[in-house]
Amino acid sequence: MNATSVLPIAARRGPATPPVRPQLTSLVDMMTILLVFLLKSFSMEGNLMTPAAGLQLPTSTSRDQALPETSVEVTRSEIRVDGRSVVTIAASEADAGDDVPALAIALEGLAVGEDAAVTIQCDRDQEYHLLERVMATCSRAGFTDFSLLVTREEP
Amino acid sequence: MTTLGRRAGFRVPSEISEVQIDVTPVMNMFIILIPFLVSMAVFSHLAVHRFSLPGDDGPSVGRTADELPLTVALAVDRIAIARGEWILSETERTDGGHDYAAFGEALYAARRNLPDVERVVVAVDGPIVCSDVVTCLDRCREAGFSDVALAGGTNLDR
Repeated sequence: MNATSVLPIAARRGPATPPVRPQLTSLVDMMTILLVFLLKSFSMEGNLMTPAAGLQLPTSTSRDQALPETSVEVTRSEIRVDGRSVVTIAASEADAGDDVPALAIALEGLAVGEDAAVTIQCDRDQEYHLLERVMATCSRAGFTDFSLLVTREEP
Repeated sequence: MTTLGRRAGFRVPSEISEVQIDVTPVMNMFIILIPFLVSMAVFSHLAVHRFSLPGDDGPSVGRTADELPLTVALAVDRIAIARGEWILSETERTDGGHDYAAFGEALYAARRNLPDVERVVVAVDGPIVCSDVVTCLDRCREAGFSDVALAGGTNLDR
């Protein structure tokens, strides 16, 4: 008769292994740092407008809030209206007039009401001459309130 | 005489066991809070410059001297402040670019001398980039002008 066979089943299994507890201290440290950083960047109102891809906005000390309006984006390569490509910069410069005909067609019907507003996003290194033609086109399309989107300069 | 250790009912533990803090509730809170804060985080703040376009009749047609707005002529080599046909000040460009500090001071002085003038028209001449125009608009607002208009094409060589 084997001595181990008379022992209870739990004793025959050997000592119980302690539960594995992962070390969460370093994870909590990392989360705390992330939390502090994100609290600093927290904004209740957020950004109502999103800067377009393909351009770098000029910086400004202005604090006026951007509102969601019809957006005309003058990137380094093309002109877009509400994200839709309208004409390339090269094609627009080939026109001799003081407006952009393709843009005028795209803006038809978008200027609603007496105080139709448009937000222009222009790359910081783009020449003002093109911006002037875009503004003239928007004015002829019926827009009366103009806003130029900029990146706020942090003090 | 009995020692403390031998007093009845008092036992000194032979070893102090390690205190384990349960951080699971803290982690639960972080798992909820951090994705929420990431979704609400704003890393670059946007703003706008509101401006108008000047009328098609030009700045001085049919207006008296008191009704003329201030004109800021932004050229490649200088920035001039004018009212009608009179140039009030000129700021020459330096090697490092336009001297916006001197231009801002000149604009402040013009604002002090003309407290009733609220409107300034920024006229651009030559190959000027948008960032320079925006800086000029900033100086106009900082000088106290509430109505800023953008135009194009001016003749500084009179």
